[in-house]
Amino acid sequence: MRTSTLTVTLTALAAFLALGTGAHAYDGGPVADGGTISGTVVFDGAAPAPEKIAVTKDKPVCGEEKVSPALAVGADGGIANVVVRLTNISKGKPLEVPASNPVFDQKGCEYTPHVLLFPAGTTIDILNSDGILHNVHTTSEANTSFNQAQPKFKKKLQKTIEKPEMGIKVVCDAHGWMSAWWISQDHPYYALTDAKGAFSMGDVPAGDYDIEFWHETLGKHMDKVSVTAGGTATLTVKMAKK
Amino acid sequence: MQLVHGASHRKGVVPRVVLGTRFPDGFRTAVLALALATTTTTTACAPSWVATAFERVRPASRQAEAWLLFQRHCRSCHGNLGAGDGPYAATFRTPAPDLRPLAAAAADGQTLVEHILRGSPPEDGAENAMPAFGDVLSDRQARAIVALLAHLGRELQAEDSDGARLFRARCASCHGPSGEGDGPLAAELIPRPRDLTRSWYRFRSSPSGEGPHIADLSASLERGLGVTAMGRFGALGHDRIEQLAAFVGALTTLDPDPEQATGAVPPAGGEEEIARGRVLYDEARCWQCHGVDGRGDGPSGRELRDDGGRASLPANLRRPWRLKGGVDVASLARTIGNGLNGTPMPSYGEVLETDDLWALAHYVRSLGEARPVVPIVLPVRRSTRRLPRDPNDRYWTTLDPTSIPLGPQSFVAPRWHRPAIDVAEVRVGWFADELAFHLAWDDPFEDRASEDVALVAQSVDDPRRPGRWRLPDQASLRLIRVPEEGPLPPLEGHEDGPLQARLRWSSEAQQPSEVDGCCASASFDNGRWQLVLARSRVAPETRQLLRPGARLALSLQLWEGSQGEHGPRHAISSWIPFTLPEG
Repeated sequence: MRTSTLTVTLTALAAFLALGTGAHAYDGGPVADGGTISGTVVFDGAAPAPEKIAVTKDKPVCGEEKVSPALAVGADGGIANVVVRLTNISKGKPLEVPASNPVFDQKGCEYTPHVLLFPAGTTIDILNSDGILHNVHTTSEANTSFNQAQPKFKKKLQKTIEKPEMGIKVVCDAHGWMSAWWISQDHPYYALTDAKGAFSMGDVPAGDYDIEFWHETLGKHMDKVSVTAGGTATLTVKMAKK
Repeated sequence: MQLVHGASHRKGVVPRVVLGTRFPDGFRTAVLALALATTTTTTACAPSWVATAFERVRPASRQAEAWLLFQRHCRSCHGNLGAGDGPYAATFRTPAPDLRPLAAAAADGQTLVEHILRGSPPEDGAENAMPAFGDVLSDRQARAIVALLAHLGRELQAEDSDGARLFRARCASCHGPSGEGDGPLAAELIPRPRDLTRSWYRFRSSPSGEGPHIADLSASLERGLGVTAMGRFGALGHDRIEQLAAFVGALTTLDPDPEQATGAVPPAGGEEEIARGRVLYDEARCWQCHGVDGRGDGPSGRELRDDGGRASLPANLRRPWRLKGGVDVASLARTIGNGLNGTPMPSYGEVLETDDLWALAHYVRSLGEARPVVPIVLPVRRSTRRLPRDPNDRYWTTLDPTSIPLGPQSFVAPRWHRPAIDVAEVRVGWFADELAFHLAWDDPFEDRASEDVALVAQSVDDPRRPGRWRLPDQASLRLIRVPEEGPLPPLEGHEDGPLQARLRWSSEAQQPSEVDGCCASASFDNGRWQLVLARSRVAPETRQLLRPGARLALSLQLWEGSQGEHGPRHAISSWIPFTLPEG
C-alpha cells in the first residue's frame, strides 16, 4: 500500500510538473521564404444590435450613453477584436518587444484600444486623457494583478507585463462600464481582427498549424491551417453566440 | 514609491509553484498529491500531516459543533474566543464579559447554560443585555458551548502551538479546512471569509499585487478586521499568533515574505498637514467612492464589487473602528499607498509623493470619530420657542448632541449580527407640551420609495430572492417611563406595552408623516440622515402631561434598506435615560 501511494504521488507530481512547465520554449530566428495567413472572422447569424449602457456619473466627460465594446459586428458581418494566434509553433521569426511602448488610453471613459496584444515583457504606457479619476484594475493569473489609481494629475503610468497570459481583464471600478483585455504573447504569430473582421500574419514558416480564434463573448474556435513557402493561406471563420 | 518594503531580498516567484519545498510541513505537496492521486483509496499510510491538513471539521465532534454555534450566535459581542472583545461588546449598558474564566470556574456550568437558554437576568437600571437563545440552541448544545469556553479558558496554558492544529480548530469554520474560504459558516457571512490560498491579501505592507509579509498576517490576527466576523485573536497569545500566521502564509500562492516589513515613521501632522490632505482628498477624487464628508457615500459606491463579484462598500472614514486595515496614520498611508488587493480600492503609491501620502493619511485620520460609549443620561434642553420641524434648522445646532452606540438586534429571531449603522447622534428638546428628538446617523444610500434598488448585501437566510427590492431606510424611537426601581424592560418584545410609546419614521413616506399625533421630518445629505421626531409631552400610560422631573428613557432602532435591513434585521441601542428638567 505504501509503495502504491508513493508511486501515485510521484506520478502525479511528475505530471503536474510537466504541466507546470507546459509553456514550450519558443525559438526565434530569421525566417526565409515564409508564408502568410490571412482571413476574416464573421458572425454566424443576424448581427446583434450593439448594447447600450447608460452613463451614471461624470457625464460632462463620459457622455450620456456608451455602446458596449464587447461585441462589435461590422456591416458585412465581420467581428472586430478577435484574437487570432497559432498555438503550436515553436520556431519562427523572433519575438521582439516593440521599440516604442504601446499606448493604452482612457478617453471619454472608454479604453482605447479595447483589446491590446503585445509580447510578454512589454511596457505599456497607460494614459489618462480624461481630467477625472480612473483606476486601472487588472485580474491576472500568471502575472501580478494590480489596481492602480490614476487621478487627473497623473497623465501617464507605466506597467510591464512580464509573462505570457491570454486574457488579462482590465476594468475601472469608478466607471463600471469600462473594460478592456490585454493579451501577452510568448511568440510573434498573433493578430487582432479589424473593424471588418480581417486579420493577417506574415513570415510564417511553411508547415501545418493549429490556429485559435478567441473572442471575449463568443469564446474559442480552433482550426487548422497549412502554410506553403511564399504562399498565402486564406481562412474564413464563423463564430456564433454560445 | 512604496512607504514600506521588505527588509530582505524577496524570493523569486517562479520556482515555488509546485515543489512544496517552501512549505516545511509539506502542505502544498499534500494538496497536490490528494488532488491528483485519484486512484488512492486511502491515506492511512500517508504521513500524518496529510490527515491533519485534510481532516474536515466534523460536526460529530461536540467541541467543533460548539465552536460553530458560538461563532454564529455569540461572536459579535463576546468575540471569537469568548474573551469579551467582540465588535459589539460594549454597545449595550452591560458589557459582554470574558466568558472563559466564568466557564472555567463554574462547578457544573449550569448557571451559564441557563443564561444562554433563557437570557441573563437584568440588573437594576439596566436591560436584558444577554438575550435568550433557547429558540435556536438545545440544552445539550448550550452545555457544549460552556464546555468549549472552559476549554478556551484553559487552552492558553495547555494547548501546543502547532499552526496546522490551531488553524483547523479556530479558522477552518469560516476559511475551510484547506483555507479556500469555504468553511461551514462561510455562506452566511458578509463579507465572505477570504480564500487564503489566493493572492487577494488586502492588509499588507507589500506593494499592490504582491503577497503579504508574515508580520502583516500576525497584525490582522491580533487586531481583527473591523466589525467583521474576523475578530481579534490576540487572546491566543503571541506565540500561537506567530505559528498561525506562518501556517496561513504557507497557504497563499503568492510569496509571503517572512521578514518584518520596515515601517516608515509618519511625520507629526498639524493643522497645515491636515489642510493639505483635504485638498489632496479632493484632487485625487477620494470622494468618488468615500464621499465628500468621508461617509462612504460617494457616487460610485453602490456599484463597487470585489474580485469575487460581491458588493464591496467603500469605508466610512468617520467610523475608524470599522476600518479593517488599521487606523493609525502609518496604516492609513500604507492602505492608500498600496491599495487593497482584490477590492476596488486602488494603489496611490505611484501617483502621490510620500509627503502627499502622509498628508492624506493625516486628513483621513482627522475624520475619524471616537466610538461612543453608552451615555449615563441624555441632556434635555427646555426651549423658549417652538421646536422646529426642519432637521436643518439652525436651532438644532445650539443643542449639544449625544452620540449613542447601536448594536446587533440579537434579542428576537431572526437575529442580526452585522448592523449597518452602529452610532447615532441624539438631541432632545422640550417646549410647552411637546418633546422633540433630533436624530442623525450615517447611511451611504438614500433609499427612497420611488426607486427599487439592488441590495448591496443580502444574507443567505433572507427569504427574499436576489434582485431589486424596495426596502426603505427606517427609524424607530421607543419611549418608556423609567420605573422607580428594578430593571428596565427588555429591549425587544412588549411593544406598545403600558409603559411605552413608539415614534416611527420610514423613508418610504414622501411627505412628513403623522406619528403618534405629531410629526416626522427628514433630510439626507452627504451620506447622513437627519430626522426630527416629535410627540406631545403626554405620559404614554396615563395620557397625563409629564411633569418636570419625570424620568424617561429612549431606545433607538435603525434600518439601512440597501444593506438588506428590514423587520428584526436592524441596529438597536440600550435604553438611554433622560429627565425633563425642573424649572
